[in-house]
Amino acid sequence: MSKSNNYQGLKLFPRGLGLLLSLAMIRLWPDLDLLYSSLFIPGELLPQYSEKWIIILLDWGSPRLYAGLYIASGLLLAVLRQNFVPAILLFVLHYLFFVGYTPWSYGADYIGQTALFFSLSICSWRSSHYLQFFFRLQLTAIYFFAGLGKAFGPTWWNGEAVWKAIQQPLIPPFFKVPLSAHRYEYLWIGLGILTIIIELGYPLTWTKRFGLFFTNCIILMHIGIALTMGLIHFSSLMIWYNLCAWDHPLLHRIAKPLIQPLETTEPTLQVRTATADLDTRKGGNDNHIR
Amino acid sequence: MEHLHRYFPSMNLLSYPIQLIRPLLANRLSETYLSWTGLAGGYAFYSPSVGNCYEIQVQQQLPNNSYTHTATLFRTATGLMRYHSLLDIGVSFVYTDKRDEQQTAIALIKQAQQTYRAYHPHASVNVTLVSYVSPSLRQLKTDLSSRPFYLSLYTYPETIALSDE
Repeated sequence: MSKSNNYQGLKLFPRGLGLLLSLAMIRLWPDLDLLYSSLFIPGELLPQYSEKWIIILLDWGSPRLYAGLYIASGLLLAVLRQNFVPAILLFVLHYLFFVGYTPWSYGADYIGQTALFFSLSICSWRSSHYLQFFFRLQLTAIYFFAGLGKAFGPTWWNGEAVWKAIQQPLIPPFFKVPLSAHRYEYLWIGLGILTIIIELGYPLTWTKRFGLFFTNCIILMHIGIALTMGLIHFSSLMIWYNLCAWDHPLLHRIAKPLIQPLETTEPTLQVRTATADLDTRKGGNDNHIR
Repeated sequence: MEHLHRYFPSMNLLSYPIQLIRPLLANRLSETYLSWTGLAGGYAFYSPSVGNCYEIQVQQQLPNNSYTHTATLFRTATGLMRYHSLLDIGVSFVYTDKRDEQQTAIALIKQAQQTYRAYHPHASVNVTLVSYVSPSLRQLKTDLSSRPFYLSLYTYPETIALSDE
């Protein structure tokens, strides 16, 4: 991956994360009152799904108030240079909405919480080698265990899992795979096996030889998920995680205006100092050569 | 090709990383850490297999005794998807050994019935938990006419709601 070790990916990570989480909350805004009220969860079930302090907090204030704070914190995390305060605020609010209050959570929310934990660490301490190491280790564990789980399931080897995943009506996708596509059976089998190989082989991202290859494969996989399953928030979160963790070359294209130049001193003009007055007559200062 | 997985050791323990860290969860400090960092719930994406999709269908009975489907109250696709993720508990109707979860699912369906009824006070409202079943590759191979369908799992009709009141 990137040879420069100035932790640009690590520094940019909280900014992109803040933006993505804010956008996700903006998308959810019209349904906040339905989700964070007793309209769909009976009061007696709430303690089963939520921690007590969150129920008290949600009773005390409006969900829209916290969501507004959430969006503001995310945007401030994205734009501010000193972003510790928005990071810790977003960390707590994300926990309140999606991790401590579980009825409406899905995988991306837990990934978001892990990402916020690292963002908080990045904002608290100077980006260091150890932080980058644990950041990458976390991502490797996520993919490796996801791949391991899939490898034990029979449906990922015969194409049925991929087929079922893309046929589910979760969110209207950009590209709906028609039922007639079942004819390309080997394509679905291949994609299922490829998913297992990419996820189980993710630890190879640490090597110089296969690093870029595996990261590119994972990014393509997430683009596929976004297009065919409609899980845009989850996919963009994981793509951003990958770009930043491995200082992917694409990151430098996307976030070029935000990346600070390595050289901070003024460039100096390398010109030889003149030692004599310029002789403009024929032959000039080169007379002594003849 | 489909039998390749059989050559793997049958260690279910490894397929669920949460089981590896379960002893850690017993410790209060590590429980807090794993919860606050989101580590306790973010690993098993679609593994070992892809589950079914569960939804709620709402029917209104009109004065002429005909039925009509009611549009969902959720206004965003992401809100509806989150509601469907809660309804994954409907799997308890498929595996009958999960009685406690079934009771929770019934309570959720009942709550949905009351909410929809509040929005449509002049109609009878029946709420049904359904599972979306799409034909598998194998089914489509043998029967080209296979189509997706909704499998009805549990209906909470107006009559039960009235008798509860």
